[in-house]
Amino acid sequence: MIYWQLVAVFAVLSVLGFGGGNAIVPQMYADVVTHHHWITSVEFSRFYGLSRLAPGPAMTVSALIGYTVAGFSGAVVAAVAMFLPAAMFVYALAHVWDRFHDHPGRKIFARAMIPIVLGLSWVGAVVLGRGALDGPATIAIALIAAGVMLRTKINTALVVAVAGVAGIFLFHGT
Amino acid sequence: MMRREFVTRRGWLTEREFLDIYAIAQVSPGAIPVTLAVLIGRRLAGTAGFWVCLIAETVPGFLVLMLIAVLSMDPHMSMLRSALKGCAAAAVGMMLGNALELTWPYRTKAVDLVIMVAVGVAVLVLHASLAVMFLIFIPASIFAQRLVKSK
Repeated sequence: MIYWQLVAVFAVLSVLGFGGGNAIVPQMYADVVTHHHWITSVEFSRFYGLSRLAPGPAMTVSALIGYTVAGFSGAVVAAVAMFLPAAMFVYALAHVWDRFHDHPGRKIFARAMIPIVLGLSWVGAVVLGRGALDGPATIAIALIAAGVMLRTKINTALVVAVAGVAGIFLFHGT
Repeated sequence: MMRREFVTRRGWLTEREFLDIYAIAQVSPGAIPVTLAVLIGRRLAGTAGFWVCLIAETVPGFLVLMLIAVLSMDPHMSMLRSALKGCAAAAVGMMLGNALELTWPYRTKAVDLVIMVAVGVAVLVLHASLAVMFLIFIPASIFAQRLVKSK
């Protein structure tokens, strides 16, 4: 059943979502575009862009995918599957945290994850770029957004919103 | 921003409690803001606080997204789809900017750069799954960090 497939995909991504969410973008793409063909690569990039308007990037995108696949109930199922397992993990970890608090393994693990999560973030940008960049105008928007991100502390949702308005002027009617 | 709200302004948590919660979030799966929210909720009001914060942190964004999604799938809303094209391009740029910013401090650390490239090759060329990636690269990365330290 489609709901179980949604749960299977997003619950696994949920518990593997170390490093804040960007790291799971490549695997999510492989699952929902390459394997299940639920959405196209262009839709994947647009959903991701849309999800940046809300908190928890790469996470809320699950709701949009669920919606496309199975309507509103699909969106709810996908969102719960994306958020709940990770939250339960965190809850359980917080319970036993006092024992790990001064454990040297904690710092070693966190340090070891850094290059892995960063590598996955770069791959995520490549994967998203495939569906989102189709010409000079989109590449220019991406470069400007990257520059704004690096040079200022402007709210990311605002940058995406401005790019959306720019999109209307640039692409509407073409 | 969350630290300012909970520690400085409201005084609900001590600095140490917040740092502790942040340390848990760093080694946990899930979006950092959501993880912080549920942990703060749990610290302040137990299991009930955990659930309240999970819902409060996820549901409003979910509803806003649903609204936009429903509108953008309407065939008459081609304007909104043009807007989404702009949003998608900006999201790519921000992901690149984010990756660059976070990678910058490690630009002279050969071990980290090698692991990053290896991760890229494994996913893009070999299509390794995320679970396999973690199984191989976490031990490899821990081993590599030890090696560098012991020198």
